[in-house]
Amino acid sequence: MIARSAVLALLLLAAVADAAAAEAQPEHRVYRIGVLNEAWAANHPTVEGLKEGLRELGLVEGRDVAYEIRYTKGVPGATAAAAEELAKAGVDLIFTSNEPATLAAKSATQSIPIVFTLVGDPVATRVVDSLARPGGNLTGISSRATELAPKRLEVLKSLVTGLKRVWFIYHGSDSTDTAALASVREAASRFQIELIVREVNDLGALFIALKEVRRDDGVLAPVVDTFDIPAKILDVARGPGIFPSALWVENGAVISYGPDFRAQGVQSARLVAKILRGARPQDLPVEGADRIDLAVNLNTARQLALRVPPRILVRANVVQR
Amino acid sequence: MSGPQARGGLFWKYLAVILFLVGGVLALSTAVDLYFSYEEAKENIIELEREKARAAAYRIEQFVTSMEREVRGVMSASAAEAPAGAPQPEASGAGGVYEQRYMDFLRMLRNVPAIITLRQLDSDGAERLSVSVVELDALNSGKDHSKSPEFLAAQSEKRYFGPVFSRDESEPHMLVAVALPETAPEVIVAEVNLKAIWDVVSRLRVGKAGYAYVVDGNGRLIAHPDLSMVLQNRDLSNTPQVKAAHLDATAEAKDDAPFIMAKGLDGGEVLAVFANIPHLRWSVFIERPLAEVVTSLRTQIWRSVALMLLGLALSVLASVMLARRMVAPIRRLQEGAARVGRGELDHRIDIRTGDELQALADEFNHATTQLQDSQRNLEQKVEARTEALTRSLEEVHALGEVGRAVSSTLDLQTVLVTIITQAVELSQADAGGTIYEFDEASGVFEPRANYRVSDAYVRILHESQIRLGESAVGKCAARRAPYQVPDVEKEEDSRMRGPLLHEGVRAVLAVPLLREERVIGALVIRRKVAGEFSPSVVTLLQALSSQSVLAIQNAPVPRDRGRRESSSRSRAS
Repeated sequence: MIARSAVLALLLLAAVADAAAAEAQPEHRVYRIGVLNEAWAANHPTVEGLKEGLRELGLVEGRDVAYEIRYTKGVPGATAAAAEELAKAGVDLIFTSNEPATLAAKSATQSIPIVFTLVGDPVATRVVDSLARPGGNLTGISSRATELAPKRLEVLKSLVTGLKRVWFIYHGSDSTDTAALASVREAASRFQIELIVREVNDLGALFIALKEVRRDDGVLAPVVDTFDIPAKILDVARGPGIFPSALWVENGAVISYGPDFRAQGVQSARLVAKILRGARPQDLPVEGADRIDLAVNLNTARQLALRVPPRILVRANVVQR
Repeated sequence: MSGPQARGGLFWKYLAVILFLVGGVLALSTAVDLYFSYEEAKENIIELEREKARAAAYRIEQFVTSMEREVRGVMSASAAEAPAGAPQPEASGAGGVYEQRYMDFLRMLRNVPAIITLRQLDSDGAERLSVSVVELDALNSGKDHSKSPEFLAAQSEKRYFGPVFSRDESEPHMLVAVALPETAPEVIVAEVNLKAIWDVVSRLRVGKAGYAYVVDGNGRLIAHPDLSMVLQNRDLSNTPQVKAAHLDATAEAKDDAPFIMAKGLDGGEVLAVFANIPHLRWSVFIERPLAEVVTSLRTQIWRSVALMLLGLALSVLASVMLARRMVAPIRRLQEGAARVGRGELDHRIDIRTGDELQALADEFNHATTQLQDSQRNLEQKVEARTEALTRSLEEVHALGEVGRAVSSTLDLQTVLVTIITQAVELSQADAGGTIYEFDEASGVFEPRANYRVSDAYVRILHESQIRLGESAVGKCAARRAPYQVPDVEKEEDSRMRGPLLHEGVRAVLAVPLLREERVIGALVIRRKVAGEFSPSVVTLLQALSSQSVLAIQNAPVPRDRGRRESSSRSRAS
């Protein structure tokens, strides 16, 4: 009798100890992710992609993660202020889209991990020390702008038969596109294309340059949209232009070649999840964007009297009709 | 002195034996159980990790072979579309074969994001076509790849999986080269981004501090959660775990390489398991710090040990109790025997164990009872004999007195009173006694001497005029032999019944006084208790009766009736 009850008590004790051990595991907490970008709305494609990616990794909005989204609508100075705000709010991680937002976040905090997207050349723009060892408190997805610039020229050449002259217009402060210049020049000479490089530092110079673009000239749009140069190219330039993302094709550009924004968001979710679960950003190499899309707008092509060759159609991930 | 010592000895002996048996068996079983559960737990952990490693290996293999399949697919598609027996394309005349393949390559780049670049090499190893996501495309560049391992291996083995290299120092890539056996010996080389494999490896979580990594056939680290480790291009071919994996891979089919204890990549002792990808000659390793594995087992061990200790404590308790229970009846037996030995014969040993001990106690009690009985019988006999002896002595004494009375006095009355007194006293006849003299002339028994007879009854006796054959007196005389009435109540035909009962007499013994067969009287004693008179009493009365006869014979005749009467009366009172 005594023996039996003693054994029972011991077993009970063991069970309780087990339960206690199970209880002692880290309690569930909701991670707060600060989102910083210069978009005009909260549902920027990278943010949507991030949410989707985290959901796939088991981090559900509301249950596991909460987003504090700051989009600055291109208002000068607002990005830096929002970055400070997020840093002060003590979020667990800051997720940025595009170069200025990333740099703003980087200067706002040296402790909160930052995961960036839509940074064309993280090394050239001094966002990170190197791709393999980012250093500091940030890592992210490179949209491979510098790497892909010659490829854009090639795609434009494929689209426009007998392309002779291409304009490369970018802002003087834009280090991403400056970094691409050498490889673009090399490609142009290989394709026997005359490359006209215009580094503009004010709107006047921009418009002068754009006016000069002839109907049979091609335009290589810059990755960074200081002064809204890509939009101006789309509006003003008469010749066909190639843009860095499918976004522009949806808005009337004839062709684009570059990573998908949403896909970058999804891709970055893995980095975000790793960091939330304890990894240090400086240990996570910067990844290149996984999915490089070729988008073509057949409607615009028709307006420009361009016959889209099969090579483009075969490769195109996005075809706008 | 030796008593308690012996007793304690037995108890301790029992305790030791039981404890040895119970505790020993318990300890042994726990030890065996512990050993097996430890082994089992270890095996479970190892098996679980091997399962993870196998799953990871499977996914990696799936990925790589799917890449190969894709490349092979595009190749055979192009081959099918190309006109049969197409001439070897010359450097100048690129022709439609490559245009078609260019399209296929582009389509594949669109469909398979993991493929970065596709190259076609001709039979001489010259690059005919290069299509890339990042690099500029090239048609007929003629770059010489004839010495490259991917070309050579694909030519000879139709398939090649190259070493892992990194682009931009951040992402691992690999060359997959394929040749179709049935077509012209051309080779397609695909550069594949291995990030998908990486994810498999880096997402693998093993315990708290476990990790997974992949090593290729040359012992080089291909994938590890920490990219920097991969980029260091570490050669692990000399570590025991990699050696074991390669040995296992060459031995084939032998699927029982369980685990390796070795130094992990970060220095600490680890428990490593692996799964090979024979296709690629890669191995997936899962390593877990030994300390962590042991910790998870330790709780289990502690639990078992605690249970065993509890069991041991209980068994000690049970042993003590059992030994005590076994020893207690033996002690009681011993104690009982000792008491009986000291003479307490009425002591009985009370043991109710329901076993041989109880049987032994019962036997002992039985023996004691027997002993007690035989002793009691002996005493009774001795008592009886002593009594008999005493009575004989009394009788002798009485007869002597009677004899003395007879010889000392010539007064018949005195003699007869002495005789009846002795008769009544010796026979303990509580209702007294009477000596009758038979008057032959009248045929009536005259009471001559009485002892302890009331005067009223003496008068009744005189008046009764008892004759020969009447009442006990008449009857004994008639029969010339002692006659006794054991119960007066039953003598309904007797004339004297009423007076006797009135006097409280229940039993009567009458002995005739005979001289040469002539009746001269009778000696009667009466008792207030019913029952036969013992033969010794009868014998005694007979002896006294003959003394009476002698006295009557010797008496001077004629005798004065009246004087005798008064004298007897005074005596009786």
